[in-house]
Amino acid sequence: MKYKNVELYNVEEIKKENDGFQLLRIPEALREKLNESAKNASLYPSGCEIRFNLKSEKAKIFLKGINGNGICEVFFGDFFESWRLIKNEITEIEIRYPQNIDKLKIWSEEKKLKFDPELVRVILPHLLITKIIDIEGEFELPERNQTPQIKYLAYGSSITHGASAVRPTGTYAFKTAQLLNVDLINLGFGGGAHLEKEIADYIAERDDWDFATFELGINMVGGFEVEEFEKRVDYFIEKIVSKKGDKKLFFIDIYPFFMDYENQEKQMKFREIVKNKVKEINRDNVIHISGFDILKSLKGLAFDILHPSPFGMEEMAYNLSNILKKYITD
Amino acid sequence: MIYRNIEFYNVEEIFEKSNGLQLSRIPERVREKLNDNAKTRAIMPAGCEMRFNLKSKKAKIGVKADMEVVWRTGICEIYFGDFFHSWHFVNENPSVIEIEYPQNLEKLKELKNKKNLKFDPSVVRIILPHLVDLRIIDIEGEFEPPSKNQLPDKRFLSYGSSITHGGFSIVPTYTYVAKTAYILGMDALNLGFGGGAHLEKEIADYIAERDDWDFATFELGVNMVGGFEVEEFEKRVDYFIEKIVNEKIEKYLFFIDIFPFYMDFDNEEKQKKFRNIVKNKVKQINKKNVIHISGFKILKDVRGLMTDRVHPSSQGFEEMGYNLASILKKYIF
Repeated sequence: MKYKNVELYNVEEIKKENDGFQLLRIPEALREKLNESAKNASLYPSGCEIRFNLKSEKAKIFLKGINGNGICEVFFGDFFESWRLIKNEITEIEIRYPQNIDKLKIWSEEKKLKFDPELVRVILPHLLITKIIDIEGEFELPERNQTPQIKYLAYGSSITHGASAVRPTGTYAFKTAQLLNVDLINLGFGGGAHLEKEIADYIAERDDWDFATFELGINMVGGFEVEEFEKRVDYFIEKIVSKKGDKKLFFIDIYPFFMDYENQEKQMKFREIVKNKVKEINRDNVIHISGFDILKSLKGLAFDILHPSPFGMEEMAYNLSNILKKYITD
Repeated sequence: MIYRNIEFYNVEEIFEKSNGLQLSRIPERVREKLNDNAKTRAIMPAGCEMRFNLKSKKAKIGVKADMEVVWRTGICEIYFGDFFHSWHFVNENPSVIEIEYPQNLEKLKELKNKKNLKFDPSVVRIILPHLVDLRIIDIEGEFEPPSKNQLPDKRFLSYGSSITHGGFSIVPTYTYVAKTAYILGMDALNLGFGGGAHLEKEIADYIAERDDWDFATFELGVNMVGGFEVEEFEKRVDYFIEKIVNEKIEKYLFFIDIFPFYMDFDNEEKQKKFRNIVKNKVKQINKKNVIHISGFKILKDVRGLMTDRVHPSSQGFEEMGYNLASILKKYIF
């Protein structure tokens, strides 16, 4: 969305407060209909960026974390510049174009990069509710040709959201987008991927994405019966397929986690449900991906044997982007 | 080295300063003979870890960044063996890292054995911030140093510039050296010195005399291409490579020339001569275990460089780790 003359990327609404505003990745009207975890997780700006062309000599961005610490990264287009820790006090980030911006632009043209280096990208912490206190400077909104034309939407659990990556560009969804040279819309909700009718309808209605991955199952395998999951998967997949029949749709089942190492069965049934539903749909552009093909190494999991480690996120992105590449052409 | 029953991995010297312990990656007798950049960078704990078995319920490690010489903050990462646990921000204000074993430690150990991982999850690893002049201000707890069978059995050494050191990755394990080690399931000794890889006789002699590494990578050139003539670089490369090859004739030795950077894109020539010197020297040595690697084979995507067009971004370090590990794998397994 636009705010003043900057784009708040992957932000659908802002929630004004006395000293600034919070960011919502989904509209409030939808948010209030989702489960508590998704309600909460949608306030975390995973995959959210402040994007602008800087027209004054410098910009100042004032950020504050609500519930812990997180990392904010500053990029000029595709190029990393610096990072800052965001904590529970106001942090000022000053931004100027690097002296060699013209070189970066030439380079970018030569190499046909998708992000214009003149586009400033303040990539917000993915695991910290972050309030924007103020944005100072003169800005112009990004133009269409300054960002990748292809938009990739990723729906899923905390794993898609980005736990346990340390930096916001370290999530598998972000890295996959980077490797494919596309722009990410992150709709991962820690604990909250319950596949409600409302979120399915919402994603199906959005017209700003070109392909999507849906990571289904992990947030329901604990608290829901197999039958309920199946019912929701039926609606979710059918709805998305019926509205977006022209797009490539990838349905990923549960990534390996502790239940797999404890010889449990329920998660296997959940995986079968996703796989069988995709099979039943029987269309070339609707593709099932096994979670086991994405995260193969045990040490790619953090100590909780549930969330990928920073290294695991990398492995996932390499594997996922290699699969997606076969279907997505630039 | 062992200090208070903790293994300070990749640390060769500990200075007890008035505001805490300062760590050095090379012995003082070597450090004092090197260039000023290497002197300063040697005390930044790149690739350094505190490793221990925790014998008390809890450990508390107090840390801070000394800002007098190096004005930089950083991040510590906490692992249980191969398993990532959490991260901790380090700045000029003292802070405490609290450690307790996770409740599922037994499960992690069982999985480690089943999957043949290299690090025992009982080994607590505090991976120290790689670009900070760190002070350890307090150590509380009961510890035992790791035993040999709790750690990877192979270890490689990486010498080089700030790129090997890990500048300017956010997190200490996001360097190409740490990634390569992770992918190969080995331990790495990071001897990257930002701005300081001047290939002095003293550092060549020192690396050649160490007997704690199985193979090594040497990244040569970028720190000399600005301030040194071609002839001087050639002279130093001659000594450096010959010395290491002579002393470590039985080991795999990989000599990497300059990774792509702005001079390549500004159509300059000098860096090409530097690359040729490394390549030709390796060719002249003519031994199967002495291998030249082109920097262009390691970092291919320009988006892997940050805005200064010299240092890799996190994305670049990832790519480098994958590419380097793939090349090394062909030789060392």
